[in-house]
Amino acid sequence: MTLTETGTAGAGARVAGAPSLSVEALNVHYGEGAARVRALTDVSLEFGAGELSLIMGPSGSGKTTLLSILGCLLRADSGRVLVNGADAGLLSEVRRTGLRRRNVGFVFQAFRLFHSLSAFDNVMVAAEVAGGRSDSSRRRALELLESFGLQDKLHLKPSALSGGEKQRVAIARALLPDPPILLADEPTASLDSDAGREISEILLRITQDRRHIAVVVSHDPRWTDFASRKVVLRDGRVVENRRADQ
Amino acid sequence: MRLAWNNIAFDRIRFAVTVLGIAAAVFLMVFQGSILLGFVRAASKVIDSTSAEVWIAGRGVNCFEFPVEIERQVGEIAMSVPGVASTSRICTRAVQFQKANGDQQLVSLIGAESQAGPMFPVPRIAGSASAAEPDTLLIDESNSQSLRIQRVPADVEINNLRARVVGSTTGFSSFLGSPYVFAGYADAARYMQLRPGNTMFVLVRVAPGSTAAVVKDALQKRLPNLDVWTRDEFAMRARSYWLSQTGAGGAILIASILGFFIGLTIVSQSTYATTMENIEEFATLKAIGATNWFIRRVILSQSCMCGVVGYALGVLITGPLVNAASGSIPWVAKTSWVAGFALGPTIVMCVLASLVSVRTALSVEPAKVFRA
Repeated sequence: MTLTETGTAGAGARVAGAPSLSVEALNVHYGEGAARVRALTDVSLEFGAGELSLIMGPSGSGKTTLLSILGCLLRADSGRVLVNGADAGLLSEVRRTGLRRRNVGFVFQAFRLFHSLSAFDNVMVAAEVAGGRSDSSRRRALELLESFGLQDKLHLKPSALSGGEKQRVAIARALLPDPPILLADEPTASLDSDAGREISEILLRITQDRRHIAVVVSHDPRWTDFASRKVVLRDGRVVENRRADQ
Repeated sequence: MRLAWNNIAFDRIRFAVTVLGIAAAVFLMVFQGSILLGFVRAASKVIDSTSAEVWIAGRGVNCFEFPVEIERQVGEIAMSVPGVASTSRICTRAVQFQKANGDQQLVSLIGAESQAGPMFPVPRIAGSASAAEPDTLLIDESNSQSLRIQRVPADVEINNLRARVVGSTTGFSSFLGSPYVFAGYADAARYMQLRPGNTMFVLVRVAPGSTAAVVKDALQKRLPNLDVWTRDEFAMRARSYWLSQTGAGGAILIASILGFFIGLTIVSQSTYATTMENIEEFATLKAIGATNWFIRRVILSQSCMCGVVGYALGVLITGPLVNAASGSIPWVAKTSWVAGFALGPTIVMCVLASLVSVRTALSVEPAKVFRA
């Protein structure tokens, strides 16, 4: 699979009712005085439905900061973050949390599973956070885990799962509330190449099938085979932003 | 809250230590609570056992055990007050009790006229509800060993005067250390060498149609140099005296409060350790959209689950231990509601214990989840 082959509807082809995610003139800094570091400078990006965007760049280039801003986990010093049309920067902390819960699913490099819970219960945590367990959420959790080939591992704790299995559980958790936006931070960095490819394929399939927005931060050049857009950051600035078919 | 339960059950040793700590705290609270309640009840037991609605005592008398002498004619004066149906007398004093084997012990001798009430222990003549049997005594069953009364009747001496223990009663264990011994009023007055013109308390029964409060006020006006109390007021005065002015109640209460704080410390430490161990999971929860209330609920649930299990264990071990303790502390209260009452402080303890942890978990930066 090549970058060109996976290209789907881009930002310019936004469909009414489709999810949207964009940042405009974003500036973020850390620290004060002499220790002040600019993490992002004048970053403007738009992500479209059905598009898996890859954000690359060297360490310290601002990738994770950008992902945190997109996921409404951090606030920018200036600029706008529009999540499905809502300006996250203008919302209170409580409303931002609600916006995140309804719209954003996260996949982390370190999986971030709950060590005391089984694979099934790890997925169900998302249902509890979203308002409570229900029969439909149980059914959906089972469907997701089965579709990821984990039907025999439902009752295993994370310590009994392989890296790839853990990441599949984490993706199932992220997908349970069916968020239109999926943000993944180095989702394959802790996996071997086979497991990494498997995870990449799962994320791509979900993005395309459900017309979600997926943003993946990675150092791994193999992701370029799956991404429909590649954004490169350096020193907090966007130095490359091109669609796979460009 | 599966997450809460799994978090605490995952580390079984810590969970066991926490539960044991809470159980120990519950034990202390319930045990000391039972002692406190028993002490309070014992402090007014004699007063509560009379059927007279109003008590007349010397000015400033705080409790039954430390009376002053008043004139005997107070009873006759009281009878002239409207609303008074009858009066009776009661007296008490520490006297020397010589056991059958010759050993001597100080006891609290209580002498009451039969009209003190049907529930009040007075050695009555068989078949008579009103006549006291002369030269006879009753003891509390719990004191039979310390007074060396193996069987009744048993001949003893009170202040070197012959007397005979003819029976026993229950529920009158003295909290003072010197056992209560009951006699008819005339005998008791003789044993304690009470001057014929004096008595210690006059008990007033109120006539039908009158109220204790009204009669009490009328008596107080008529007897301005004495204290007149309704029975409940005098019982409360006695309890409050023993609790607050002797330091005994305070000591017991402090032990109970200490139990609360021991539990608080244990649950706080355990909940905090569990929270810090799982701090990144709380960051994950925040990142995936958990509200602050959700985070609070997880931590509160953890704390309260430990509390409920520890409480159940604590109550289980306290029951038999209170029963065992009643051998040496006969007046200890053996009521199950004391244990039930401890559930409230246990939950409060758990809620307080989780406050610091909640604060820590809420302050964690959700963006932390991106750091591998």
